[in-house]
Amino acid sequence: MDFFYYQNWQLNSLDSSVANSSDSEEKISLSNSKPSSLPPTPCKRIEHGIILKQLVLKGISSQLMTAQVKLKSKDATCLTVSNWIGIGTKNGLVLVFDVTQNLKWFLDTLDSPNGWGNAISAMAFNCDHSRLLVGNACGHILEYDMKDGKLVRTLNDVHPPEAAILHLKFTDLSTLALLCDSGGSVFELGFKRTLGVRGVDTRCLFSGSRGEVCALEPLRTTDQDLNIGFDFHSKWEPLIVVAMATLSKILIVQIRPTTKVIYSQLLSGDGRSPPCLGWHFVAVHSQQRGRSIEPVLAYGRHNELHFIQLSVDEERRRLRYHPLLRFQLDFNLRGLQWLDPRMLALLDSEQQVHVVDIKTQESVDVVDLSGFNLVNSAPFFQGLATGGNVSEALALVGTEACYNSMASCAGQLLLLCATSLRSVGLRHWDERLDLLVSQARPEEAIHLGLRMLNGKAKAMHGLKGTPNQRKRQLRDKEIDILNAYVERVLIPLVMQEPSMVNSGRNLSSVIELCIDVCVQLQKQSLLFDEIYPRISSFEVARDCFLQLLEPHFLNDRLQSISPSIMQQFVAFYEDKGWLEALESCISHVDVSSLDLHQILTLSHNQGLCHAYLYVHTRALQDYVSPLEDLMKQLQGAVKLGPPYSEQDLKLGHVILVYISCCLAGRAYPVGEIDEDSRIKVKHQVLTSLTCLHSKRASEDEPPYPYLRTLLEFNTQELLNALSLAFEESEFIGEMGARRQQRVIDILVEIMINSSQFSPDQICSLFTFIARQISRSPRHDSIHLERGLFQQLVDLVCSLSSKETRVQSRFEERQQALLQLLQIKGQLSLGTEDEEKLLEQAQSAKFYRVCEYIYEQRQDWEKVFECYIDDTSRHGDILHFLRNVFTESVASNVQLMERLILKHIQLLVQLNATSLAVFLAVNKPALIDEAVTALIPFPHERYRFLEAILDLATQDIDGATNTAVLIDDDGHCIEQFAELMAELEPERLTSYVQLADIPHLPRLLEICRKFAIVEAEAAILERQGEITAAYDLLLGQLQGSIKQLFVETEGWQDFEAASQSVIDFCQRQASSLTEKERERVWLTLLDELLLPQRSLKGNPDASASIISGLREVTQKVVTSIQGQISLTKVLPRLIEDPETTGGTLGDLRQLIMGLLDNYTYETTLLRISTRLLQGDVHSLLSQRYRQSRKGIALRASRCSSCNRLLQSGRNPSITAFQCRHAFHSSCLRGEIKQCIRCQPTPIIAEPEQDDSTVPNQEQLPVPQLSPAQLDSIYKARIGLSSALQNLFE
Amino acid sequence: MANRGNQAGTATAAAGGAAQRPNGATQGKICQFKLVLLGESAVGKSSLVLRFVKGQFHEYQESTIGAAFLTQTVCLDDTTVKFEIWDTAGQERYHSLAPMYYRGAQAAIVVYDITNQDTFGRAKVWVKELQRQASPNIVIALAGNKADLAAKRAVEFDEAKGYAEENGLLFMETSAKTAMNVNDIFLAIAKKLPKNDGAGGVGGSSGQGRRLDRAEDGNKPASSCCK
Repeated sequence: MDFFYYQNWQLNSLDSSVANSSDSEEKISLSNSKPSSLPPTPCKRIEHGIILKQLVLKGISSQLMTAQVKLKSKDATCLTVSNWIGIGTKNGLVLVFDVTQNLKWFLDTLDSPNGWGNAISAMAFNCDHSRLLVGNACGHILEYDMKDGKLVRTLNDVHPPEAAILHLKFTDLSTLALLCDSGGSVFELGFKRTLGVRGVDTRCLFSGSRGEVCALEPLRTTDQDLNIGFDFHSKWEPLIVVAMATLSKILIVQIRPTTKVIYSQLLSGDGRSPPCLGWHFVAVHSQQRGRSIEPVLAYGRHNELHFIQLSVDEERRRLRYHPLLRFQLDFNLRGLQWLDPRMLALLDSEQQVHVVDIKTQESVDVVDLSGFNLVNSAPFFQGLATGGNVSEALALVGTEACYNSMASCAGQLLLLCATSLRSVGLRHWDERLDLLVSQARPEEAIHLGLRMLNGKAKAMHGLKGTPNQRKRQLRDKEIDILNAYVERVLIPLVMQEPSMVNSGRNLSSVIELCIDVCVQLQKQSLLFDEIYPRISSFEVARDCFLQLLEPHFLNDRLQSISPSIMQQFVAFYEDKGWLEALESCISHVDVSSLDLHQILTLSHNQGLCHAYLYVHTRALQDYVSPLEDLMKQLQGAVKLGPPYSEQDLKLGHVILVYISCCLAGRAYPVGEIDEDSRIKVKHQVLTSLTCLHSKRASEDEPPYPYLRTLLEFNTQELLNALSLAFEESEFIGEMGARRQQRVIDILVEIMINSSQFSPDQICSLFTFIARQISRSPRHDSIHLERGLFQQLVDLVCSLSSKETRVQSRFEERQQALLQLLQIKGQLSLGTEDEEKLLEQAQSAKFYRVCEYIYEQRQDWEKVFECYIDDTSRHGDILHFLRNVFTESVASNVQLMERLILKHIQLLVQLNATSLAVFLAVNKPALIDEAVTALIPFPHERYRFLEAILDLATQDIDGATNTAVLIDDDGHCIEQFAELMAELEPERLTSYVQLADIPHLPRLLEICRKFAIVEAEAAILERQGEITAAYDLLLGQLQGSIKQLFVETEGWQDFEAASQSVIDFCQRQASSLTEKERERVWLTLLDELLLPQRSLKGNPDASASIISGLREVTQKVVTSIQGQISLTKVLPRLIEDPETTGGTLGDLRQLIMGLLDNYTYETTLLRISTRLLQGDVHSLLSQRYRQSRKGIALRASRCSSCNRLLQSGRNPSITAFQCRHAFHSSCLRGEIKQCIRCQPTPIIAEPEQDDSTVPNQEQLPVPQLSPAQLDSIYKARIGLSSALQNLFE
Repeated sequence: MANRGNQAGTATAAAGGAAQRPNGATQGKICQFKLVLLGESAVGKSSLVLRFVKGQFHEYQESTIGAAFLTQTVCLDDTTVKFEIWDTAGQERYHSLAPMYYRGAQAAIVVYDITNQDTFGRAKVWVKELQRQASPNIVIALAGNKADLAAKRAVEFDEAKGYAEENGLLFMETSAKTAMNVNDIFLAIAKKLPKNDGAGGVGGSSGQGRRLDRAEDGNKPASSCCK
């Protein structure tokens, strides 16, 4: 981003001349600042440091003061900055300073004609700094030459008189300037020189009558950095673009080569807040053009800020705009200046300057200037000098305006106060760091430096060069800060100097910071050569230091360090006894940093086997001797026998993992062994492991000490380790097989010929060997003596039959044995052996093994039985059977059929549905036999039949047809129903309701046989024998009532029986004649009333029975409503004195129920009548309305026959609302809808003499038949008469 | 009749019915992968394996002493994946042996118990250790076992899911008891494992599964029906 830096401006250098005073100034301003002026969260300040600095430009300010005294100048009013700094005053003086703050020109506009002496309101330098335009509050403009300070032009009559100049701006062209006056108009000033006479052309660009312009900003490429390149200038130079803000709008206007409005947008806001504008060239990334540098306008008002980018369409020289982003501010905007392409300085109405990072939309820092008297342009906007001849709106905006007292240059914001010039700028990155250091916040400085290095810091200013150079600068600075920190904080703290001790710093956090920074900067020389030596003599600090290295070791950021420090580290950890942590650190550190002797001694003494192995293998490339050493230790432990101590256990495990790693060519504990030494290592380790005797062995050492020890330590895991190793290429092929054979031979020798191994362990050995044999490519490379093999099989089987607690172990053995059996040729077992093996496998429950042997023998019966025996495989039986049925010869199928029948009960229990499907698909004939075979097992038979019958309804694998065939005579259903009656009688009723008609007679018999009354009644009902069914149900009810008196538990039966009668009656109500209906209901009622009557006289009768009966009676009466006339029912109830208890009171509820019902139904009637009437009425009115409208026909021809409508004599025409018309004769019959589009028709009979379009229509009668109305009325009368009867 | 065994043998996967291979001649390649189960003791590692291999579940499973080795074959499109499963012991004292199994493994299932937050913490430690020390392209799956005990849940599904996503692990909640997701998690691993036979060949020491020679396989009558 080199081009952010302006050409030859060096305001910074000139600041240094006033550095002392500015510093003090700054401090005052900091201490004066209100708490509210701080950014919202204090941590932000710590993150970024203090970014802004505020200075007084002493040279200029003091000369302004002097001028007031000596030259009778007054307060400053306006500022313009280019290569020069121009300041105008209230009494019409202009002071021009150069970059070194020396007064260059003193221009007294009083000297000029036209009564100058009014306040200077606007000024502008042209692009090559040779001319200065000065405008005043009365609207006069002068042009000065900056080479000699002489007046060049006096511009008269360039704009309407009596209007103050608000803005003066030069464009990129030295001959073109813009002015804006308090009338709100914008004029273009074209300077010319004809025949040595200087003149000016003026043109009104924007008239104030169309909205007053209050801000104006031309796009100036010359203000920007010059390094942008030739292309850029050629692209933008011919274009003159200006942004203007009126009180309500923002406009971007192109004025050269042609005048054109490019962009306009409403810009509303508080009437007091002035609109703000600012251009800057910014690097923009776009998808089409890649990275390019384009002008961006920032504009804003009140609390909104927008960014809009312009680009040139190169071919057609057209300008385009692209809105970029907008954001909300949390303050009121008053002024806006770009600092650099990423930073904006915003002045708010509280007179605070906010510096905003555009990308993150984050305010990085705030400076409060509220104590200073910032110059504002209000007098000019209010037109005080010209008698206030301005609009109210402009005057209001002007109260806050300070357009001519802010300017930005070289990344700094210049602000004009009455008697001084201030600058607010971004601090250079190093300044920010230095400031933090000087404020005694070195930790923050260090953190900020790290953030800068990691590219996370904001508002980085002043860092130049390529990325690498920048990094180097940052790094050097960071190291400087760190050095100073060590010097001023760490060392005094270590020395226990009171000033530091009391500063609240913690030694460990200070050291931690130092280590962290050094590690991050990879500056270990600083850490270990400079810092550490200085603190190592202080025990506390040294311990702290060493301890804080640990996390860096563990995350591998500190892999190589000076051995002497590592030595001290190790010694310290050893001393403290933190051996575990030490061990894990060691394995992360490069061996070249380790004192090998120290580590080896330590690990040997302390049993740090990890570290021991690590050092040996990495540093000495010795893989065998550490194994031998460790083995010796383990031998000692194993000799004592289990249980092993934690230490020994760990040792053993480490050895096992180590062996497994070495044999697999992996380094311990992580990584891979070098390619070239891998094979050697594998070989050495294997040789060492299988050696007959250890080095320096005692006389009585048993052969193969290492393998033996490991086997004794943990047989299973050693075998697993070997098993994993045998997958390596060294154990494959002929040589490999030999190696395997040797290891296996040794293992066998050790284990079989020794009594100290449990059968369990030997079993593991067998599993291991079996697996190896089956795994080897040709299965014959490993030999095992037959007798030995038999011995092992015996052992495995006998052990497994006894002990099956650990299922995975059991399964492992079975798998191994099975795999072994599956290898052809290896085990050509004799018949005897095989029988024996079978027997053993059977007793060990190795069903898969048995199955395999039987399968080989093609003894399918036995295979099937294996499946039956092995509970875990029950799910697969059918699959097996299907295979046999589809693949096998007839004799086998017959065999299977027999077996299926034999095990039919089990099969049905497992899954009746799949069995049914299977049989239906494969062997339908077997179904009957299966059913027969199931006779002894009614439950299974029932389920099987159900599954078979279900097939008929659900199509599974196309078995439906078969199922239908099987049961063509219905014997299955019969049997099923019979079983259902026996096992699940409550299901029978619902079953018979859905059963097919032809089966009903037989089902009826079954129901009769098992006396299931409800089902019987249901069948009768379906057969149409209503009376018989009713009698049956009634009989059941009677029975249940009788039962009630005998035993009180009969409630449920009674309720169920009564409910079924009521249901039956309701169901059949519609199909019965009225007489029958009456009979049915009334007998039911009688049936219920009778027992109550008889109970009445019996004082012993339980109250519960009576109330129960009444309840049911009530239910019956409720159900009767609507079925038969109430007049028939009520008398019965009232006449029966027993029911009523002789008083009306008992009947009250009943009658209340009836009345409620009556009210309900009358309401229903009333409402439906009202609805009907409403419908009729609305239909009528709609029709009436339609009939009063004429219909304009589409054509004068019949839409059907296409002849003229009025052709022929006396034509009858039918017209529809769709504007189609037909001859009535063409519409055959009474068609009520248009045959073309079928809407509502209007049929008209034209009068004979009327040839116009007919407008009468026939109304169809609303869709309510007289019969319906009749029935409604009848119902109503019936109800009221019933009610009358009731009360008579 | 003679080829019956072969046909039955090609059908695979446990009773839960994952990828069933149609009967007929085998085609496609066979890949062999080493898979290790890791996790705190009593989270159900052995139960998961037994469910996968045998379709069985035992309410009271004795704790594993010394890793057990089991195999199971699943079919995936036209590839037959043979898992060589190392079911390790979960007890703390055997943890130091785990590197032996996972350093050469192509896949690992880290199991935790959804009713026990500690086992989830321990599972995270395992994952970390695998990421640091195992083969860099090991496929790691996280299994939240005992999903049938959801009423006593202590580890939220989303928590574990989030953790798995962060670390690029496969994740499922399983139940060895109800067989929920058991075959699925193995199948998901099989899908994720690289099946190109570029690296290593037979006995390749790391990363890749071994591809078996077809002729060799032809000689071997496959195990049995439906397993």
